[in-house]
Amino acid sequence: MNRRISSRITLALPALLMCGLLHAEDATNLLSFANALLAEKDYYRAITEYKRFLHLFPSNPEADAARYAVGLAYFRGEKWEPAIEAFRNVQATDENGECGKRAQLMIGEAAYHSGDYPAALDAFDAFARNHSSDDLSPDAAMRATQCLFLLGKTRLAQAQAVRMTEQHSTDGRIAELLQEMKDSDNLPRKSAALAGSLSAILPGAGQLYTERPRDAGISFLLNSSLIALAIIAFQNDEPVAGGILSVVELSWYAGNIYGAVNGAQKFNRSQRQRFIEKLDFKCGIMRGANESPMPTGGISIHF
Amino acid sequence: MRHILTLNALLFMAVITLAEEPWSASQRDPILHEAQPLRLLELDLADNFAMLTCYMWLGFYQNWLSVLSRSPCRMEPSCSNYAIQAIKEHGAGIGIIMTADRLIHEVDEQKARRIVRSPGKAFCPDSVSNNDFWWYAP
Repeated sequence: MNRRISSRITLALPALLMCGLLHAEDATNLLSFANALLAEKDYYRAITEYKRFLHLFPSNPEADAARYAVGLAYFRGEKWEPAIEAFRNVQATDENGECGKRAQLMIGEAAYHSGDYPAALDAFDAFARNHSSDDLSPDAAMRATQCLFLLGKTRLAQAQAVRMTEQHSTDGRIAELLQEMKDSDNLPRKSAALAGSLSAILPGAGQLYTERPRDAGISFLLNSSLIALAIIAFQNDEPVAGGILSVVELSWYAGNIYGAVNGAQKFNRSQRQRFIEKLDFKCGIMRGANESPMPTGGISIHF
Repeated sequence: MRHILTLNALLFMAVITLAEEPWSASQRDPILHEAQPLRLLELDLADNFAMLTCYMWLGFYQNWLSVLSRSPCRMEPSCSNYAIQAIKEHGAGIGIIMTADRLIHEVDEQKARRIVRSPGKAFCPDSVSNNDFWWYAP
């Protein structure tokens, strides 16, 4: 009897071991496939595969890394809000681990890229405070300084940058940041009031001032021809036609002024956007977020 | 004079007829609150007279004239949907002014902004929020 049982165990044990191995192999393959999709920038499918992995292997040691990768896929796909939510999930499940720590920084990054600088500032400040000895702490402080600057708190940002220079004298980015903050005063700007006034005097002139020559041409031709038609109508004793044309022209004229002011605002916004991109390029952090798929493999930060 | 006005009316109709239909949303600059083609029956009758008149004209254009359009609009949302959205958000007066501006600034906007390409389509995202961001926060 004992012999029969032991022989059954002898037969069953390799089968069980095989099952375990296959299970582990499935998990590894699935994760590897998801990583490949992420590398191919097929973020939507990558997220599905990471979620499949998390559904099938919720207690796998790589589960937190997969949760982090979901956030990373959203982040790279520029879906900032779902990215923040995914990173918050990582924080909730792995608060003190490497993934949770990186997730906190990525929450700040996603908020920063979405233009929510107050939320980004909070996240970076929290990271710098909670993980002051971490290698990425200077990066978080750097980003917090950028946020302060972009929020218009230039003096605070400059004071923080000077403090950072004292703490991390070898980091050349801080000097760059200080220089950029000084240069920001010289950004080209267009006056919205001037653009509107110019277009009020001569339709299209404001558009020309805001560097939109084709819009200027269209605006000038449209308004001048409608004004001419209205005048001709009145001169030919056709007040109804003249009145209708005048009303139509009035909306084009107002649209022309609105367009000039709008163009100036868009010009200033685009200059600011370019400046932020330049700032990111020169003083940026977390560019590794675009390169390394899993935090357990180590996020590579490129300065 | 009548000939000039008739010619102008025909020209205006031709311009309207050559304007186009909407595209899908962009990835880079998603327009998540894109106005849908107008259904007059869904309108709230409490809307003021000016808004109702605008909606009627836009509904007429979308249901009868835009079907004659040959080429698809390169702007997203299309000008008529933009007009509906602008009127809905800011009322008839500002909505008409914003629509006039949109019709004027189409060409340079396509140069200034990144064209979004998807299979068989290319369009320039230019939502209402891209044109009222400096004075209106929803």
